[in-house]
Amino acid sequence: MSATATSRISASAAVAALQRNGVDHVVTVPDWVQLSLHERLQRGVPGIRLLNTTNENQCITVAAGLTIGGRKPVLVMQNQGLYNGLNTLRAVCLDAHVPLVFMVGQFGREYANLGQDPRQSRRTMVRIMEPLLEAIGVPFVRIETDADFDGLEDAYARAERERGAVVLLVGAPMGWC
Amino acid sequence: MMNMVQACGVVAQQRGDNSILVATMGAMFVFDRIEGGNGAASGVPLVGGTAGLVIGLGVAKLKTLLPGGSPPGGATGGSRISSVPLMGGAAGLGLGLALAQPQRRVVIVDGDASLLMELGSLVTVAQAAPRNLLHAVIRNGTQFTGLANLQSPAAGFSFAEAARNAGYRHAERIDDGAQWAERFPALLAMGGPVFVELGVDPLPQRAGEGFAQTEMPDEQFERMGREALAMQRRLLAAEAA
Repeated sequence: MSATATSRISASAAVAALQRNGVDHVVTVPDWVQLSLHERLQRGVPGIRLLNTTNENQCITVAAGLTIGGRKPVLVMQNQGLYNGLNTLRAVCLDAHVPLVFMVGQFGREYANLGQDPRQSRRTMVRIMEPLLEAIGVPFVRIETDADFDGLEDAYARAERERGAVVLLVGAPMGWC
Repeated sequence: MMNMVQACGVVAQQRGDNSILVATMGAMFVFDRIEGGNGAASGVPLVGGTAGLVIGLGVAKLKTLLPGGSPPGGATGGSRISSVPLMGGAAGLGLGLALAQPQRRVVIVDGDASLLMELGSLVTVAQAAPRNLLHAVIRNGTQFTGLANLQSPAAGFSFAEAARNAGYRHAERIDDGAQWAERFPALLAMGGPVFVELGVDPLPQRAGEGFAQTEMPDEQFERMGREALAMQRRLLAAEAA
């Protein structure tokens, strides 16, 4: 029998946090962990334009163009997507110092690991994410409950202050509410 | 086929002060030379053939030596950004800028090998459908152009056809420099996204037996950040005014 999880993160809290912070574009390749957020955005959220790209490298460059042009995007992707976009992240955020905020779903995280340290996950793509971000000097924040979205404001402030990337690691499937 | 000075010179001379230019590395080097240190590309003759290339680059160099001239490169004035070192990034950068600045014309001068790395960006651009975007690709069939001229894997592939199939509102191929100069204002004014595939001769190969490769300067890794910041400040200041 498949395991299920009672989510402590909701799409409505995510949308509210984006709106509270003045985010005007969500640039994305969809993420299983944040499916309910994608569905909500696809139905339409006032003030937020949804931009789908065909891979995560484009997410990063499109978001960079928006930021340079004065808009406030957030990038939404899964951990695999961040691995895919690593060289673009290097170029745009580490070398060119364009401030960007990412919401990255920890796709593949086994439910037995919820509430535990993701570095102890038996799934490689989950386990190596935080060490990788530390290795490349990109700060991250774990999102495990709705209350953690309060960190979005700090994430934008830090990205702007340090002229780089900040990653919010969404640790569990978002609830459909 | 046109030469690189014609391909880039038309853009530099005709794009207008209010526009934004995104370039890949090969085009960036040519823009640096023909725009000089003050960003002015006027006076550089756009003549075809290898002779035209030599004359164009020669006049560009001469301009830097005249009173008021300055060394080439680096003076993008907040209106040009180079996707370096980042092959494949120009289309996405240009798309984001076009969506953020709908009142400005955005011109992307892409490379063929670069666009091949992110061919899906044609679909991404077409889906977002910015009306103010002109996307040009320098089709010279080579990578490390002017250095080793390695063949890029695009033989028989039509970029214009791919852009048309992706959903660009208009796509065409131009091989002649004079025709490019004549068509540019109409293509720029057209409701986009518009795509143009430019048939361009590769720059003459410099590397060969005994050639010594020089170190990549720090500038190559720092300029995109400087250009991004300058552009961001310029655009924010214009919005605040």
